[in-house]
Amino acid sequence: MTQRPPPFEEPSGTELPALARWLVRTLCAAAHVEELEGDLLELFARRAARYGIARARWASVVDALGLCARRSRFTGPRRGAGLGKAGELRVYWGLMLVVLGLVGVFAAACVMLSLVSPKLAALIAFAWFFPDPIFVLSAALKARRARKRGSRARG
Amino acid sequence: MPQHLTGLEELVFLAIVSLDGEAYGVSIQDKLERAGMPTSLGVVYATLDRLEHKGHITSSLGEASAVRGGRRKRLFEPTPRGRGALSEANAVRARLTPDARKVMP
Repeated sequence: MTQRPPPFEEPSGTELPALARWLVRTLCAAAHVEELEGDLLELFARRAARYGIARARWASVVDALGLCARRSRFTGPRRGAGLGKAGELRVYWGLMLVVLGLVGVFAAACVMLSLVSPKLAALIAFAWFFPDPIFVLSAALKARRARKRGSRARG
Repeated sequence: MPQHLTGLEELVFLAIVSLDGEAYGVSIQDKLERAGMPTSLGVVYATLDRLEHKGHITSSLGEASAVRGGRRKRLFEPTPRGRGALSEANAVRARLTPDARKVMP
């Protein structure tokens, strides 16, 4: 059985972080993947020589996220361009359906979680709406004190 | 309706002109950073997309290189329309600057 060669040959000693590559290949428009990966790899090699591999890896992932946000296969000025008004309307109608679908899946997951484990759902909702750890800690302490006072009064 | 250049578009366009045929994502970002305008690669590409959409620049795939793991660059070139928009932006600035200097020397 013959092994398939990789689509691009990586230069020795430097390799684009897997997460950055995955982000670009999954989220960016297919027509731009080659140039974007090349740019990211060039920047990665330069940063790795200047700041070290670990910092260069993080910077590559941050860059990949920025690129995906602006050259996404789902949005951007190229999306629907050249298809005419009807084509663009179809593209954006499709995008709206995708967003509605994602919101629906999220809502369904929340409902399922609250049915399966109301305590876990309450905990997640609490952490979601009050992500400040100091606030959460002080609220928990206050609740504990109030519970103790209540039990003493009853006793 | 004429397609004007916005602030960042003008800077990116100037970087493309000054790079003279060697303008691609990283080299443009590098040029801007050296000129004192550090920007992310995402912002550079978003601006390039806008410039291309307005017809101020064109792009084509260049040669593959070992530094880029065999991947090709997308090279950007200014169009006559883009050069015209830059001249127009310079003319507008030249008309506004004397009045602004009176207030803020």
